[in-house]
Amino acid sequence: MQLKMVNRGESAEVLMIGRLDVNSAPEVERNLLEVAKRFSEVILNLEQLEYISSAGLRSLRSLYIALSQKGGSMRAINVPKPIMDIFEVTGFAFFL
Amino acid sequence: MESIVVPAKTDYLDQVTEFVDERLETRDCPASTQMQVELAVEEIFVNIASYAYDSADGEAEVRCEVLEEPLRVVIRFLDHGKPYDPLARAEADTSKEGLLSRVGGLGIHLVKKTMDDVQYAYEDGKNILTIQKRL
Repeated sequence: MQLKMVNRGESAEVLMIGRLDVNSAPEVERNLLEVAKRFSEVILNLEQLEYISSAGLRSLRSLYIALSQKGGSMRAINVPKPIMDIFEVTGFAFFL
Repeated sequence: MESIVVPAKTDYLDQVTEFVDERLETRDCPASTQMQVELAVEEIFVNIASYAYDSADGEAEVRCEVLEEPLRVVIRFLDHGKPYDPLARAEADTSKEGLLSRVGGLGIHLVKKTMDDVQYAYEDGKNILTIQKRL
């Protein structure tokens, strides 16, 4: 799993590439929380996200909570259909 | 049914996923279906790795076969850990508030929602969880 960040001044766009599973989620979460410290708006570009499990969803949840606590926000763009299906089944579509 | 036996540790998830994928790959199933099967495999295997043996070492066996008419995959997980029926858990709260306050049970919720059939049995000292998904 690879993260690429584009600094857009107020906001950051994070391109997530690969598989967000139980083994990659802890490091992804640490990196996302670092991004949340520096930016108040985070855009997750999921175009190249191949897979997400509940562990991955929890790392996105941590980002959402960290940003909410400082009055920021996040949203996801370019969500592939298989990933969108998982967001919808779990109720995680609320941050799209 | 072909099977693989691995230590019940999340480090071995990739091996289990590969084992299942190898059985699916000739079937040309939709990306969404394949991801949901991999997802169910991860959630169940991680559950076993996390809870079945407390902190002791143990093994997990995963059996997999593709059946015809209707075309479907059947995957069975076996462990010798303490009896535990994950299907007996309360439904996960998937409201926004529920998700933000607590995310327990999300994995098994995903399994139930994405698979066509999920069954649990405890036989001969083994937890046996069987899932089915149409391809």
